[in-house]
Amino acid sequence: MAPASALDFQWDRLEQLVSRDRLQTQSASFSHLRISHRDQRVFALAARKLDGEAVDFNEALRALREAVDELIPAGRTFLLGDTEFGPIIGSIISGVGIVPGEDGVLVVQVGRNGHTTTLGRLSR
Amino acid sequence: MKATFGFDPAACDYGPATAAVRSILTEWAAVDWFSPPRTDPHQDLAVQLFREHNEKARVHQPDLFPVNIEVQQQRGDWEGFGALCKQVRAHTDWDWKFSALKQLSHRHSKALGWNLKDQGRRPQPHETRDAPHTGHLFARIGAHALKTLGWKMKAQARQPQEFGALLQPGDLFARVGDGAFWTISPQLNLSDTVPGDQVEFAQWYMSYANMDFIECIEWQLAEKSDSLDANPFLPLVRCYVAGFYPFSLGRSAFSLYTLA
Repeated sequence: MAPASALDFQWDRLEQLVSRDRLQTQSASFSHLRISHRDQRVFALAARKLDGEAVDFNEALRALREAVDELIPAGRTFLLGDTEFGPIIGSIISGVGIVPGEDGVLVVQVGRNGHTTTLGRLSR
Repeated sequence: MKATFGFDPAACDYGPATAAVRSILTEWAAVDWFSPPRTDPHQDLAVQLFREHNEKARVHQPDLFPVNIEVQQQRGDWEGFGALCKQVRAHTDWDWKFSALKQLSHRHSKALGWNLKDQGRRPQPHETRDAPHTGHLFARIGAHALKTLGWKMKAQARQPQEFGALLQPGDLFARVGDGAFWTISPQLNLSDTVPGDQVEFAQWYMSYANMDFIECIEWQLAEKSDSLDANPFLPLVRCYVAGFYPFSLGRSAFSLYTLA
């Protein structure tokens, strides 16, 4: 089951944390994010697969899954929780995943305490 | 500290490997995380279990699992546990979980032709019954959803949406769009009992330990069998059940740490 804490998603809080300007200027390398090098590589590869195009969440999921498959043997992606816009899918180790947003696919981190913070944007 | 799953494995149906998966889930739920072993004999048991794990893994992947391994027992406090976590996290040339265990799981599933996507294509119990029940292999979310039930407490109040969740207690996977994703995860609040400065280490360690249980389950799903005899992950996860926490100090050097 998805951790109960991960379900305590607070979209209002997320929106407060998201700065659209910050998201639009982020590097596609994800190296500026405070996430593991392994996660950086996965999300950078997924972003490259999307080629900066606006995509729906299913396309983003496919890119993420392919990136995990290519970079991690027996890599697994997990359903970490959900939001009113859709599920959070990502790493159960780090809690970093993607979620559909109102105007693009976001990279978020589900903390052990259940709080979710937006780290950036995977696609337009 | 025992984690909770929120469902009874005995009520779940996991296909041809149902009994084995139920057994693994039951053992997973029985782990008393980060508690001292109750009796000394556990120490011998843990070393035996770890050696059994290595031998069974070696049968499948002799290149990844050496013939001779050094397994030492170590008893200490939380600071010692944190120091070991730091030590193995600092390794840059060796990562036991990614270099050995995940490879073992990956190659086994591949050899048996098992993958999430293919498994998801098979008719699942909830596709053939009127009402969903616990223990379906898959929940479906998204465009391919068959039913919309809402997602646990908060989501149940919502109107069904494109991503309206169908997750049932005991589901191992969820399908979102055309992809399938693992979903099972134990729930445990470590901050209640673990010293504050060690919580992050405990969480880190437990996340990888939980992955071993998931590898153990996937092994059985790939085998499509209830026989657990050859599953190399089972003796490994039983180390956790015994209260010992394996650390790989190198390719052939392991420490089984236990909290005093």
